[in-house]
Amino acid sequence: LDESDEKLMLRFQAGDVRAFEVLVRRHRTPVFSFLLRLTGDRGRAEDLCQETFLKVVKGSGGWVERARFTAWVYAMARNLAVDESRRMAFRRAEPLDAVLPGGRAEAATEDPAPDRAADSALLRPKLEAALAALPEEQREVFLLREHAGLRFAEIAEVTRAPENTVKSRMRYALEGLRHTLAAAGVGPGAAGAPPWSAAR
Amino acid sequence: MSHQTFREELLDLAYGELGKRAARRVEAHLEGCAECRAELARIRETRAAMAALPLEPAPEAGEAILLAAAREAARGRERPAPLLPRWLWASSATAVAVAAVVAVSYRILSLRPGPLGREDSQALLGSGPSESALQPETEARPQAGAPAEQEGAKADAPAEQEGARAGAPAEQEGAGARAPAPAAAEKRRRPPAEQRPGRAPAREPRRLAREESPPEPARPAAPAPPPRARAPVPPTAAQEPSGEGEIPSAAPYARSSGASGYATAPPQRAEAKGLSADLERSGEARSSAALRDAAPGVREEAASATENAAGDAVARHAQLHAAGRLRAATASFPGCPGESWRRVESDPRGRVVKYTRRGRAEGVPFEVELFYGSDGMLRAARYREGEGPANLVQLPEPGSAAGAAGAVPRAVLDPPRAEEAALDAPARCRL
Repeated sequence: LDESDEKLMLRFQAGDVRAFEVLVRRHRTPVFSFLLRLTGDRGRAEDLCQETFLKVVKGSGGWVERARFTAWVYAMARNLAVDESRRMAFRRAEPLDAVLPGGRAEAATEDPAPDRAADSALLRPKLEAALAALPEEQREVFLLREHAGLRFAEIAEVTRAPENTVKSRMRYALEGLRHTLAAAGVGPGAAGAPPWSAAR
Repeated sequence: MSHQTFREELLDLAYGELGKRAARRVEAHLEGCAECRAELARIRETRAAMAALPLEPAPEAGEAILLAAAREAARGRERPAPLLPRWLWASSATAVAVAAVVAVSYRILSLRPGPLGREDSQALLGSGPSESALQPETEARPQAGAPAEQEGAKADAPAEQEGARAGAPAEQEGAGARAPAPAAAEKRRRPPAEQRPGRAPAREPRRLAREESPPEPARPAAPAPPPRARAPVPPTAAQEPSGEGEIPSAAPYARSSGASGYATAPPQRAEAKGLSADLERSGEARSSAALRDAAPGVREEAASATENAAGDAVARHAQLHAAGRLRAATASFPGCPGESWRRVESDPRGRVVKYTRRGRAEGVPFEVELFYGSDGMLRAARYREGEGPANLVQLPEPGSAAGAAGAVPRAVLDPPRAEEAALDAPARCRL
């Protein structure tokens, strides 16, 4: 199972369906999570997730290892979601640009967690809400970085935005999340894990 | 380097995207810069907090479909017959085996929701023993969608001559009858024995349960739409519609490739989910959603009960939807205010069950969903302007606006008959 995505893709290209199965098992849930949190709609996320992997199947024949498999897959997932969103005549209004509260940021690191939300069942909705409250551009970057594990340069390609813009969005996203979580009583360390363990 | 430059690199540092030397430089700066330390700590803390958010597991149902598509694609790659050495064909037994391997059925197309998924996915999912190809005809019937498929299939695979299937249902072997996809035609040209030698066992009990449901009795096809070309799709294009009741997807209008989002939506439940989003948006899909998630048996019952639901077109749609038996296709009409977008959902026999239209009426966006009974008459309509509430009206008098009573503008109660609600019907630009 440690075989790289790219090797698996080449094996699938050569007709090994089991390689594709490994890829699906490895990436379907992260891609679905990404789409679900990007669109906020489970049904659409399921559709888009399936479409994404069917595109993998369809594109596998001509696939060449120009970029990481994950970058390719998330680019397809993201573009499908964006295209579909554009097609929706009655799509929801996007949230306005992130409100970036300033000033209060400094205190947080020194403060102990004001309200340690030990119960993850209670914590989770707050995290979901904080994520959902981000403007789409920031949420997208955050998810691609945290969920998909794409590098900023890859995210820039996926979202067709300059890398600096991507990083700005990421900073805004992190700021926005922090403030939303703080407002919801989720302070630093509320997740119960040391900060450095969070990288995924 | 300035403080600002270091500060901008904190994000890269936090995400491990700095090279070793650069990282060391930033870390050295951190030692003397409380502001940057605080910033880095904030980044890490936020990440730590958000890391508690687990991944959402993808629904299991989709996996088998993907693997089936992958199998089909893998077979397709081996297909080009001219590459096969001639000597292989010298031995008839070998030829049979090779034929079975390279037989690229377009069954993958049957992954779309509907009877293909039900009937043919046994093969797709590699579940079944190879069916006797010579079983008597049980269910084969001319398919409304068949003509449309001919073109599409030709575009991809000249070897596929679909006409045989569409034109000669009585010829279909048992397996072919269960699979109105091009595989039927393919099989006919090949020795029947030892089809698909490498099929794996069943993977998904739920699908099997559906597949094992008794075939429907033969019945005349719905009025078939005229043949038309479809976008060429490689054999792996599992999302392309296929088989019975298929809605022709190419409208004489600009149909954005994207507009096929639902049309090309992944098969089976995926399609139903997509549709359900619309239903749920109106807040009236509770029963549908419940059905959708019901056990396979329930879903089958829902499907079979469909024919009894003539009086309630909305229920009919919900039932078909829940059973994953609807096929949807969309078209968009740029520059057509009265109908900028359309989606047509049809039952397995190609009869339009629901027709959704979006446009603008005097500048106000509206959406109307028209539900047709099994008699093909307009029976219910749901109408909404902008983000306003949706009004659902039943139309006791088929096709008439009686009962609409102002809740729905009469002008949008069009067409009164399902057959005029085809995807390629002229856009209704005026109200």
